[in-house]
Amino acid sequence: MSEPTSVPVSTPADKQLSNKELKELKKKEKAAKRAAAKGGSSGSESASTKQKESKDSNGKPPTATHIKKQLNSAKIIESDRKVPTMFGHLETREQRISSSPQIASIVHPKILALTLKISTYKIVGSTARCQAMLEAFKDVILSYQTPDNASLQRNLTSHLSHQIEYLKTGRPLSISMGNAIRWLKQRISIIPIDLSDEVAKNQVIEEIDLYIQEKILYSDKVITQFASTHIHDGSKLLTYGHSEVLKKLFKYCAVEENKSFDIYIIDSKPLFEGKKLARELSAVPNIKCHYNLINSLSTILERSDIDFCFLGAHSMLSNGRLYSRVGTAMIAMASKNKNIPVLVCCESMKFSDKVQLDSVTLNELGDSEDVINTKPFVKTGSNLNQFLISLQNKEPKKPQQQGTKKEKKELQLADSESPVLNNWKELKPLNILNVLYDLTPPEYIQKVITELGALPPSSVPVILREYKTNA
Amino acid sequence: MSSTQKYEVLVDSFISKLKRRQITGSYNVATATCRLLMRVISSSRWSSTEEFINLIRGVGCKLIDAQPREFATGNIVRRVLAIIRDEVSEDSITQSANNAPYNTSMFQLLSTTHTTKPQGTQATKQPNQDLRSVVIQGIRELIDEIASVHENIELMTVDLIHENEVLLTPTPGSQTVLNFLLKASLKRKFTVLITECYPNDINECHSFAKKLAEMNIETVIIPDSTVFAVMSRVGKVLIGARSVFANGGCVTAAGVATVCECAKEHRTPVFAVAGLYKFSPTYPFDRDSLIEVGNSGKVLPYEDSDLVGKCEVTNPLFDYVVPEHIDIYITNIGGFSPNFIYRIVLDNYKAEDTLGDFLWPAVTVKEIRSRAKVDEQLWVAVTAVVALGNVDHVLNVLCLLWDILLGLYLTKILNPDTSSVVISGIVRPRGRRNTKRALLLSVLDTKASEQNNLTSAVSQCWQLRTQVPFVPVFRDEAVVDDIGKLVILVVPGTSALLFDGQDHKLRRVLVDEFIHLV
Repeated sequence: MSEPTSVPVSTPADKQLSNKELKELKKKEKAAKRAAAKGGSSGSESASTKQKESKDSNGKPPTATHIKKQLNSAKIIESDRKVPTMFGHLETREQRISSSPQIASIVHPKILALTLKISTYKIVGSTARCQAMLEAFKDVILSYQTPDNASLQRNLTSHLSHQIEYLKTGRPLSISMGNAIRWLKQRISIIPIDLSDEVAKNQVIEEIDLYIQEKILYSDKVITQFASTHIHDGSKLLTYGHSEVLKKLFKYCAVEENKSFDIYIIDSKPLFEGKKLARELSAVPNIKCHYNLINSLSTILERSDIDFCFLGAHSMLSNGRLYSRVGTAMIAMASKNKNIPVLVCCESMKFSDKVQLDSVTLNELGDSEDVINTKPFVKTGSNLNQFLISLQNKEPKKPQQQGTKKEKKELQLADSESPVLNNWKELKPLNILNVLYDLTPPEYIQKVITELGALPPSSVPVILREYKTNA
Repeated sequence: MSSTQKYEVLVDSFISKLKRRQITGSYNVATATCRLLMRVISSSRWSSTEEFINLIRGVGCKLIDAQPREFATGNIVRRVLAIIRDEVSEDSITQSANNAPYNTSMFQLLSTTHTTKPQGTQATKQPNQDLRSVVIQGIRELIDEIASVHENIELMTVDLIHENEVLLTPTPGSQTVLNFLLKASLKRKFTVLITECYPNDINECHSFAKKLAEMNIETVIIPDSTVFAVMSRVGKVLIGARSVFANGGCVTAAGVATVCECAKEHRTPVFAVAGLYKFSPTYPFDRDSLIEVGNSGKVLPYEDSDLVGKCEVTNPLFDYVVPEHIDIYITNIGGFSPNFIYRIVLDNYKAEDTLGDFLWPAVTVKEIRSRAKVDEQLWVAVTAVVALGNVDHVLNVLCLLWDILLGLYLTKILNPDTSSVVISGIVRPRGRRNTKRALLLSVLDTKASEQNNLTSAVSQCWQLRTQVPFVPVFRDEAVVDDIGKLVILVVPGTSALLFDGQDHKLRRVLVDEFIHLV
């Protein structure tokens, strides 16, 4: 029986290891930089890694429950988690120490890296997350080896489950990811039992490639073609935040079809995804970009003659509601009230059979600090955060140095913007709400454009049904 | 001579302060304007009350020109003018023993017996000193009233908030809202959701939240985008108004219009709190001109300099909230529905200062009054107005005309058997058109087909109500010759007096509403 530690090291060892090492190295570098800035010593850090490595060697046999326990043991318990009572039921991301020995032995380094990227919003948007996840799974499957006394069909799915379990700690899975995982597990389970490991693995990887092409890339192309009929020369379009398929649509219309039009990008705190879209589109010569925050929505609608409102989706729910980045519902409502047609572009892989009535019952909670922060949005990983906290705890040993540093820091802050709520966690009645999604009622949506055609939001369950029987 | 110079220096320094935004916020501006007027009045000289009024009016025009979007200056000047006019008319009444009560109602305009009211034109020089001291006393009272605005508004808190209620306020910059909530927390326990108002009021939002939290009020800061998501859990929305207009609409911080729209969609009541000094007698016809635009660097900060120049960025500071989205105004003199605001305005300002001459000296209310005696001449007034072309002014006068015509009919001066009524619609298409453009177009050329709907609606209601023949007229040369007709230009969104047959009281309704009523 192979040790779990040997999993990443085994077959394409060099690449995997280098990946892992690279990541660790980066982390160390970052930490060292911070440490240097803070005036702390990096010596303690290297000591801890040594300790960790020594622990690493005595791994335990990987039974399913055991692994879960191990994963949970690495959880960082947030004592000062503050969530408004109304939203107390929502899960926040469970932060875990990725470098802890228990996790490093189970979770593939690609997944570790992906989790970090997702949790810091480096990869954001349900399509991008889904695609990145599938790509990572390809590596996981490639380096997977079936244990002696198990079959690939069963063991691979449970192996993936552990990866997914860890992936969830970055952020809860998106609907598209959930759908893809369900599909993948189903495909693995029907692999003929007599195939050799190598052939089976290659088959799965091929199927993943096909899924990405079919469900994401080609779907987007078809949607783009459907939707482009709505965009004419001189059109004025409203959009919110960033959506992969909308970006492709606008680029396609401007570059391939040579239409020139105006785009009003509405954006909001804290992620400012619209800036990403604005960056991409302002480089296209035929597109005139307008960038505004959600506060100026009413003014934009009043002053500019908007023709269409295009929205992206996180998911379309079975009762016709659109589950998307928080703020979408406001845009849709305001557009509807001004008689501007609201069009949603959404791949059918994002359709979900869930039904939901309001944005409070099911949602994802973001980090409250992101909202409070008035400076440009940069998210650090939980490991780095933990490291910084531990550093701060150690620091009082050198009070003099730290004092001056802190003073400097405070001076800097006072220069830029006075942080009124620097210590908001100490104010007991004060809460900060940062939900990531909201729910748009179907009344506001004129039509949903999918690769299977354009349909009213009420037809979402029809598609789900047809689609299920096909699959 | 030296005295005039003295007050001009005062006014000029105040104007530069306004222009540099050294005095901001309705409260500060209002009190500062009061003080300024007090000094102007005490340092200036005049020989007749007419001159006195003109002097104050001149100062008022200057102040309004300096910062047209700060309505508090205009409001205060008008209040002071009203004080003066009250004083003058009281004097003249006692002197001339003319017992005609001064009625703000438009119906008085029409009765030929009262039209020439002895105004204080020939007021003697002797009571100047009295007038000065009385007016200054009046301004002192006004300052006291402004200072005590919060106390009076706070009195209503208990009636409006229930235990464990969830409130949402999208205007954390408003001192009135803060005081309201702090006062309410003494009697009730509730949760307050505060929107961030990024980027303009983010610091205000944080300090607002801090103050509430320190008073042990459950406070939640939410990003502006989250309003729709949480609206289903909100009991009431509380907004602070910057200025309130006669139609019941108001100007507040950017983003509030969408919040109120969300509230309407969820049937959540919206309260607006505002002191009396924020109530302006004008109508918000040109919405674009109400909204000030701020530093777009706040929207795209220096870090995103790669986007600067490639994107068009605007940062509006204010929003106009339509009266339909507000349920109640809470003022220092009680709570009112937006439909009733016109009445509050009438109580506090004089008609002479609210329409015509103050904004626009060409055709004064008095002139219209004198012309309105006979129906043919009224038409002349309308053409004169249209010829001058400024949309705002045209609309202001049209409001008055609408009132007058209804009055003519209701007081039976207008004979249904002999005169025909011509209604020409000025339509502001809902939603998608540029306000200004649409208005100008319709003034210049009312042939546009989109007006047919409104015209037919109006014709129906008019005929039902009056049995007066209805001829829709679009501004055509052919009709100009046909002078035996009355022209009413209907402006949706404006108000009109309506004689309620049941309780014999005057009611002002929105024209839109009026069309619906019938």
